[in-house]
Amino acid sequence: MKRRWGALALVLLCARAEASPCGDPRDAAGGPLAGGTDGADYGAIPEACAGTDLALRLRGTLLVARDAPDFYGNASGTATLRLRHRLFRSDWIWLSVAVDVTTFRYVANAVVTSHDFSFGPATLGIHRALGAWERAAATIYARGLLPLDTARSEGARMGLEVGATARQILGARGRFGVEGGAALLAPVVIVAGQTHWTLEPAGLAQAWFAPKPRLAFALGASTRAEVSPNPAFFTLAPRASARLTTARGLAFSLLAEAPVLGSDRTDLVVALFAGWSAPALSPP
Amino acid sequence: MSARVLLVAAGVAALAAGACRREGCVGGDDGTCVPPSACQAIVYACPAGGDRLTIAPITKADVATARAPGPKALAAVDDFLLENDRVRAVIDNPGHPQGLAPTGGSIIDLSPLDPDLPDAPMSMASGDQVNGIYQAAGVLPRDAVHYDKWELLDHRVAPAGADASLGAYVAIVFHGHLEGDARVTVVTRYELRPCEPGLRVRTDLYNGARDPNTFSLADGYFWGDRTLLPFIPIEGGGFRVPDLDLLNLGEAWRTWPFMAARSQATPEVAYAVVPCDHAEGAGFNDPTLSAAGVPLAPTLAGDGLSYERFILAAKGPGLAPAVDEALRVRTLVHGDPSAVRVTGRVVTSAGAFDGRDGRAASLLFYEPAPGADPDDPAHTIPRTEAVPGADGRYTASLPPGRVYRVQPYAFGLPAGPPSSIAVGATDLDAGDLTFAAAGHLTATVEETPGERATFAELVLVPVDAPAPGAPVPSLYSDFAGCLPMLGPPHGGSPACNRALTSDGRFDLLVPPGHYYVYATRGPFASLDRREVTLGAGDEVAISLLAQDIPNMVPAGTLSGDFHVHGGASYDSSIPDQDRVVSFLASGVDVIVATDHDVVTTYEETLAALGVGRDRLVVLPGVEETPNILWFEVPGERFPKTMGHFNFWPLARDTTAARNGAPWDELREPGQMFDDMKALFVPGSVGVRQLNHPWADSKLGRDQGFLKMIQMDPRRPLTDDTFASNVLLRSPGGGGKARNIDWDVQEVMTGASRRDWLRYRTLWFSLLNQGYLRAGAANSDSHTLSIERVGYPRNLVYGGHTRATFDRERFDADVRAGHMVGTNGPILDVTIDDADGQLHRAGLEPFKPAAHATLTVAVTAAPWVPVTELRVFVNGVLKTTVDVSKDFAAANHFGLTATSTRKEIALAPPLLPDTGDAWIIVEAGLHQDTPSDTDDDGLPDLPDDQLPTRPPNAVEPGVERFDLEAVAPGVWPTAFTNPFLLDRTGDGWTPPGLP
Repeated sequence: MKRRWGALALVLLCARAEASPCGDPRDAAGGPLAGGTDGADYGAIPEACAGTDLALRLRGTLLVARDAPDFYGNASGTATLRLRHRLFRSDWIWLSVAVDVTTFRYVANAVVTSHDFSFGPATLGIHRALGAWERAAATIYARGLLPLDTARSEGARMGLEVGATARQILGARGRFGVEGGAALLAPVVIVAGQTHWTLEPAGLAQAWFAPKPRLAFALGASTRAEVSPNPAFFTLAPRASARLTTARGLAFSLLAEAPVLGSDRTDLVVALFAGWSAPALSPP
Repeated sequence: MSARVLLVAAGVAALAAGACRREGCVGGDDGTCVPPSACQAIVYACPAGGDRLTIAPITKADVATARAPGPKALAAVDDFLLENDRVRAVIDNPGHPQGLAPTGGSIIDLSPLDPDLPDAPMSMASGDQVNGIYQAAGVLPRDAVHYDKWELLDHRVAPAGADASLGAYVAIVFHGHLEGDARVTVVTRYELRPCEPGLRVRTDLYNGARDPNTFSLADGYFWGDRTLLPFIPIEGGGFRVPDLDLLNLGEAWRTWPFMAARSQATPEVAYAVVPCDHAEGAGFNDPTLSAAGVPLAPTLAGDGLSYERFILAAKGPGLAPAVDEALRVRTLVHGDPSAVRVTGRVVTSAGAFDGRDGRAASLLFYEPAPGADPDDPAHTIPRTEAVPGADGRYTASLPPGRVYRVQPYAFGLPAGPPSSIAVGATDLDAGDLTFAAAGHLTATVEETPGERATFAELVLVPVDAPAPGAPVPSLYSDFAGCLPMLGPPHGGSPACNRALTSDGRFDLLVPPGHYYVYATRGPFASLDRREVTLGAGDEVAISLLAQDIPNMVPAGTLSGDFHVHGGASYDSSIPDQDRVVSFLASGVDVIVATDHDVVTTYEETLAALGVGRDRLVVLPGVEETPNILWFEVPGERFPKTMGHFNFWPLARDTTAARNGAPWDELREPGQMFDDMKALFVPGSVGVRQLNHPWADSKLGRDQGFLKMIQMDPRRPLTDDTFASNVLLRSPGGGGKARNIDWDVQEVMTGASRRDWLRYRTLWFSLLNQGYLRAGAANSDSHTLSIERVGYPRNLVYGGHTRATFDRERFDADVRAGHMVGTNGPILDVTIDDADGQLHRAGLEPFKPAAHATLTVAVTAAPWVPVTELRVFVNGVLKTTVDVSKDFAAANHFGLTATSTRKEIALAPPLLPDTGDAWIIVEAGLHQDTPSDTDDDGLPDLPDDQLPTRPPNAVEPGVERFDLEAVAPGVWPTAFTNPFLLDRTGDGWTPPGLP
């Protein structure tokens, strides 16, 4: 058993020497940034590679449907803290915790408007690497949406999410790659004794380009739908992101998404990220 | 570590468990949920035997008794009656939508019962003043609640196994959703318990949509401008309301401990709504519409909210009866300190209070404003309003432990300086409050010397115009303008500066002053005037004569007003008795009762007054008044409503919703015409009238159809424009009515000179294009004081008399345009045809004689000034005849008419050299056609030409003083319908637009 672990580590080290799919966690091409409009990182396809990091996301969403028949708009700003932590000092399993520390919402129903600040929700996830090969890595994960949300006056929303995520290096120098994943979400709202559940598949695919190890760009799209009980296509949202990291592990990112298809009327999601990543367990 | 995990898990479990607690329908409507009883802290003790409780669908057998007194009571078969010993409520069936609500499920009647008559039969309800109280979660029609199911809960005797602590109750639960989004479910429970003066109401809303939303879950209280006067006890509030701009609604949004409202007319009822599950209610407050509901907050997808409130009714004048109960409910529900009862007496500077007309005095209680001016209305906190009884005594409840200011009001103005009272923890006798004494005017009006008139009107105007900046009477700053304000401007007699009589006698309290007192019986009777000076406490008696002027109206002609409203309309509160007396006092022969969306006949009132058809003919009709925005107009951001249309004759069915009027929402005019075909009285062709075609919209509701579709009178309907496409299409399909297929359109509506000139231009445009519609002149009167019945009116000729009135023949003449519209002068115009016969105006073409003559006779009461005749040919003013000498120097108070007669040759250049033509004749004061300043094709009368009070003298050039006193704003004018001249005898061809 120990030999297998050792062999895998050797493979990973060697792969990095050329173009490892899970190289230095402080590299800019560190996986997809959490997007979407759901709470915390629920429904956001996560990274395929392990890491220990802490990030603050400042996300703004905007929906302006000012003409007939909508006469509706909402804008929100959310500060989310997300922590990932390798377990057992290995790259095989790690936890993620995300919490919306505060959300400001402004909602206009025609000329009737309101706003509030709230705390929550939060998620707790566990991620398990399936393997890391010469140029690819894959991970499965399960995540729970915790019913901590002060914006809800009457009920609680919780849920499970299971998914898989993967990345593939393209090209010999490891400056290009693709990554993405798929998930099945099962959010449940329990309000005043009544339960409302849905089954919602979600997916993400994006290609990244890292001209330098500390700078990466990504283009792609995310999608989400409901398959039960009322099948509906929610969104297809093209996305673009950029990330800059430093040798000391600081990371600064920008993500923009703009839903173009589906019933989701959100016009724009923009998120700024600032965080810190721990170095790799072993020097790359 | 494990302890922390356990702690978090326990917290999560607790949250989830809370969410799992079954709580009504906040979590969505699964078809079986029932909102729990609202306001459970309310406890009213029942006197012995006072625990009566009723709930039942209304049947044909009991619908007559289910309707409370008052024209606003609208209970119909299949609606639901909830009644105890103190209140009767009627909730309409989901299939019976009214007003702004897309379905039933609204409170349509709410009447206090007399608590001193615990065994009162249903007919003892004191009266209803509610237009409708309906639920909505926003301001757009899509946010109104659409109910489609209901269930009755009869818990008068607790069923086995039921929670006995709930006590006896009856309830009705309505299930539904927002009109525009079925994913947002709404369930409302109306509950009544024994001995409680109101309904416990709870509404549960669940947001099943995917987006967060702002749901202003609230009851909409549709006051309609001229009915109940709403009140909120907050700083700068009370009866004062901020301007309601729908596009900036947030500026009008307020929170309050309760909202109350008082009537302006009998039946005297006050209402209040107290939030139960929120410390404060929230919404906006306006004399047109108030919304009282929950404070605003985003509601996430998958979240819900509830709103519990107690809606109560209390009998009596003023606001105090409702405020007393509201404070009591707040004590029970929110633990507010018990209110203190303040009593006192009003006396006058001349001695005892004269309470023969309680509306002459009222008291406003408020907490003083901080700072130098304790009476600054922007910062005082009004708490209640009391109206003294006939003995001058009053009672009001106030929160304890505070200092209050008491402002006496009389005749719409402060009747003395405010005084301060300190209210402790116990009831307080505040002693005497001294008012300035009123004067006392008694008047007798005779219709011939020595013979008292039956029906007449008295009008008071100050001899001297008020000085600039002088205080203007108002109802606590609303509805300013009456001088003097003898009573609320929208109420019964006396209203504003006018009073009615049904026996020729008047007995009025009047603020001290120097007045002209007029007696009038309409524009075809003489006018009389006395100058009186009334000091405080003075008693003055006068006698006046208002005599029919002989030979004014051509034989065989009846005058009719085809657009009048009474208390059954949501925007009127005139008691039926006063409304009918106003018809009779105006000298109108035929009234078409056109209440908004409800059929009225006044037959009970006519019978009670002993008035038969030989005195007044009332044709039941309706004004179809869509309220739900739905019609898309290119370039317009918000959807529209389709304007207002009158229809008659209809049969009143008191067992049916809206007395048998159809639901008119989401219908184009052509569809309304189709709908009405089957509803006209059997055997009747019916009349369809376009009302005020260019009226402004009100609260986003379009009142003028042609304005809504942006018709340009300069462009032919053959052009491919949005307006012409709408007008010419048949929305019901092929062979059905087109939207342009009305019979009659208003050319004059009320006294507005500006509107008349615009409506006339629209009419001329249609006539030029061959769309022949009769032109009518109607008052659209909603009040006794602000719009006057019969100003203007129609003179319908065709050999009619009241005694031999033939409705079908009369209506046929109306449709055919056999009429003259007038607000004073009488026109009788004829043209001789090729066969030597005389023709009056109408929509039937005829061939004029080769040397035909236009013969114009103008007659007017001596107090109605006339200076010119105008002849329009094909919509163009062709000639003006100065007749001022014939009407000059008339004694305004004489008993004979003034008149003139002119003959005008019908030949070029009056007529075009060739071709057919149409002619309209007008008579009255001089009127140019103003220029079109906003390029919409319609004339725009400058503000400085709007009629106002002229100088006080009967001199040439200022002839309108007496007319303006009696009928403010009226610019004397009469107009004929068109003469269609088929000059070649080969069929009349419209001339086309100029």
